[in-house]
Amino acid sequence: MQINRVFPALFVLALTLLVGCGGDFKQAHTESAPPMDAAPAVDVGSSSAGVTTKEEVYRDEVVVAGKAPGGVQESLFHPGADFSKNIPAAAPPPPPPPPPAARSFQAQAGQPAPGPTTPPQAQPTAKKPAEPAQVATGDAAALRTTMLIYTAEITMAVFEVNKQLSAVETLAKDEGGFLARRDDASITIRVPVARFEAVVQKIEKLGDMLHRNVVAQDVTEEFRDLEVQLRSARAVRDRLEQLLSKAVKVEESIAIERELDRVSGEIDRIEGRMKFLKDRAAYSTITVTFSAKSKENVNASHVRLPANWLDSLGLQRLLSL
Amino acid sequence: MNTKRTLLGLAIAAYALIGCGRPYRAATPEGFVDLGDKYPNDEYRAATADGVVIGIRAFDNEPKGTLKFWGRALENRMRDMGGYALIEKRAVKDAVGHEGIQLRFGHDEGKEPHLYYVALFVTDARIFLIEAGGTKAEMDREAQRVEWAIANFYPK
Repeated sequence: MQINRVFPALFVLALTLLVGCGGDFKQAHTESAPPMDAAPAVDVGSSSAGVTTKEEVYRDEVVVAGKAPGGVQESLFHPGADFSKNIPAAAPPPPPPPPPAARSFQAQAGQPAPGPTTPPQAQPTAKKPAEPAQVATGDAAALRTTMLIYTAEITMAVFEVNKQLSAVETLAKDEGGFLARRDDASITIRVPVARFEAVVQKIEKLGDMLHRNVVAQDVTEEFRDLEVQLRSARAVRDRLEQLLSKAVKVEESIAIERELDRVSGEIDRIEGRMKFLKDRAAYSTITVTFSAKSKENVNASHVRLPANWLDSLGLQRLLSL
Repeated sequence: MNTKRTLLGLAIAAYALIGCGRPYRAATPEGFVDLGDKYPNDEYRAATADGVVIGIRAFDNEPKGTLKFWGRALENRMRDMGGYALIEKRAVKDAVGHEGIQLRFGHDEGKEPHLYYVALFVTDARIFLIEAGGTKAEMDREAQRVEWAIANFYPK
């Protein structure tokens, strides 16, 4: 009788112990939120030298995590990992059967995880199938708008240069633009893109136009790419900041900060380039040059007519009395 | 009687000689002085005391071209020279009603703007060139007199 009662009790106790231990382990893992993206995304089974497979990583993490509470976070950080790499879209091979505690790793394996957060860099992976739909709806208007940078170079014949330079400058201000540069023989103005064509026509009427060159540079593609890059970089930065807040070891913090600096610099560069393109597109650039002699010989007559009197024109001869 | 006839004949001949070197008759506007015959190729020159000069020349129309042709050739040559800005093109008429064309150019000599006008009349036999030039301020002041000189130009 006693044996019949003891065995079930023992069984229940053992079961309780097992579940309880796993629950604690699971809780520890959940709280520490392992950086799934930190692990190099490699296929299980690839065992080339220097490449840590997911399985090996998992084993290390599981083993180390069991050591001490502090060890959990310590083990979950992989120094030298490239945080800017996106997790490949393709689903990795199924991992070995994990203990119930390591269910957050299953998120990386593509299986649904009850964990509170999925890694930020995993989000692009998960979101990728949805991206086309997102683009089609939210960013459709932005995609349809082209971004063009207009630039004009106008060469005028020299006559009353100062007066014409001032006239061009005044024209720029009247049209809502501004002076960018001015010297003795040329002037560069920036005018709102909506007034570009009108201003060019007005400048041509100011004097004798010898040459005009208008360029429209389409930077839509580049701007779009920069937007995508910026979003990614910001996501990486946010994730790094989260990791930094959870870092325990000094080496970890230094490595994360170094990576954070790099990503922040990249964000600054991208933002700067976007700002530059927006500015150039919003305000077109017009350069007016006063040339005493046409450098390109646009209107040069290639045939010299046999009429000597054509060679004796001009003020110099006329005013030489 | 014979003396009188001779003298009359000489006078007529002299008058003809004065004009016959030039295949045209120039009209000197008020304020300008005819500078005489000292210029080659029968060129007429007149000037004001403030430096505005009118010059008239005649050339054979060889190769034969129309007013439009020589007007374009002249414009192209001025562009090739450089330093001249075409300000305006005008239709002009001489004393006998021939239609011509006037090209008005601006030219900066240092910081001093100048104006250079070239009027062109073309007949089957000849090309007549009427130039006028000077500082902008003086040319603006003498503009009407220059126009008068062109309007009273008489090609022979």
